[in-house]
Amino acid sequence: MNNNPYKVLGVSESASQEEIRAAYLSLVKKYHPDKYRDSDLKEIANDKLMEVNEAYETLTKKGNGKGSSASSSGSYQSYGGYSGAGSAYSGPNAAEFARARSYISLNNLTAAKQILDRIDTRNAEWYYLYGIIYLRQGWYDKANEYITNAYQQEPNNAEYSSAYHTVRNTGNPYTRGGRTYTANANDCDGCSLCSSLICADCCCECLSGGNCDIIPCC
Amino acid sequence: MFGYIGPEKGELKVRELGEYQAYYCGLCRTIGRRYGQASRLTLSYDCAFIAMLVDAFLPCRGCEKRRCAYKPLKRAQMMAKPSEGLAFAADMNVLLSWYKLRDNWSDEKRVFSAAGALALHAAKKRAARENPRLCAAIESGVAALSAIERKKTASVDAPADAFGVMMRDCVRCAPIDEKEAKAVESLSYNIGKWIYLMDAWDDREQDAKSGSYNPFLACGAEKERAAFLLNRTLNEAIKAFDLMNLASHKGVLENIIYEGCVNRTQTLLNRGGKHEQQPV
Repeated sequence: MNNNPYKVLGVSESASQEEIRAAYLSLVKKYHPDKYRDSDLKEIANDKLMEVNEAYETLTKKGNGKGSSASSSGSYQSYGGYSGAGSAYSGPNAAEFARARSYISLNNLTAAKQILDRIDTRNAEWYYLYGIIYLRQGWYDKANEYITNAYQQEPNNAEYSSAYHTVRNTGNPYTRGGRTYTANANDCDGCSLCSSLICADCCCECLSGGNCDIIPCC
Repeated sequence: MFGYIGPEKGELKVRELGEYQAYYCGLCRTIGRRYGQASRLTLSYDCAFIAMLVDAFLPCRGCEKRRCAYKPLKRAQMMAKPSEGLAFAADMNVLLSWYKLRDNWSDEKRVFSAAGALALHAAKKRAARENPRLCAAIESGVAALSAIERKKTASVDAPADAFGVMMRDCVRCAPIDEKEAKAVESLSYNIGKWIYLMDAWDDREQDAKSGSYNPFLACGAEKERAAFLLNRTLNEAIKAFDLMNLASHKGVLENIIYEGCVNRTQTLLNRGGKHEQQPV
């Protein structure tokens, strides 16, 4: 951990604050906890991220307070990822499902599987938990099938729906720079919102002969 | 093995291309020196990658100029100097080839495979003596995989997992720093799975004709499902790769993982099958 902070960020010692920040941001993206949420490499990624944070803080403090970003930047921290307890499930076999969940969060997949195998109710919760187990195990075909099943049974459940969309997105081809990793779960991100608005504005202007201009600058 | 792992040559720097070729030649030479000239015919791209990966955690050993016994008329070429990675990859190459040939003979009764296995027999025995742990890992991995294949299991995950586990157990025997072990194991597990899936998707038409087991045919998986699995598995491998602290060969390995493998996946998915001609 006592490495040269410049080396950690992969920049030269004469790098400007902007270059340091750019390198820092790309490394944060590389080791981002979201990316490693269901992976057993979570700890290594977290250590790396901490190392990068430390290096960045050292370098930005050194720059005699020029960059105001130091205080607002080092706050990328890992969170637990899969929550073992916080489920809103209250159907049949609730106690068993809760136990299975806690085993999954402890990463004891065999025990969780044994509990699920004894439950006869094949509801969305059952498919969801089994899907998570398969995901952890690396059996992505099964994981995809089970999580999709859970989502289709209860599309309004926020947990199932987020798992379903995350799994879908991780099956996109990799593009350098990691764009597909952080692809949005739904299609309504800031960018598409803005561009739709601009489009709508243009249509409006055309149809009304310029009388109805929501965004005056375009 | 299969030769799916390779660089995207057009995107490499000239120096990096030289580095890769030096490793490929170096591996060939190491196989020849350890296991006799005939064994050099089993040389594969996958093992050249393994050799580079194993050596990537130490400073570069450098190259030397040597003539190739196979192309005596060609000028002397750059070859990687002997290293632990090359020795390990040579063992792995010979052992994997022997087991593959033996399986081809016992499953499909291919005479050429039997002859090949016979020719490699002495080399295999020597490799097993040199690296008994590696030999045991491959033997049990191949056994687990063929048990799944013989049952004609209707699952893509199960056989791919078995192949991935075999690759991981192999790389566990490699001389790699303990601090890097976890990331390297995850990389090799997922790359192993990816190789298996690539090969299965590539061979499905041939297997449909010959009636051999193919996991994609067994579960009736269509292109979308295959694409999901291939991409997801490769993305996991990339995640593991991102966490490794490489001391050398960084450019080449990054090119192989981020571009070579990614592009090969897309090319394979976008074309029909191995024997389908691309329209010119």
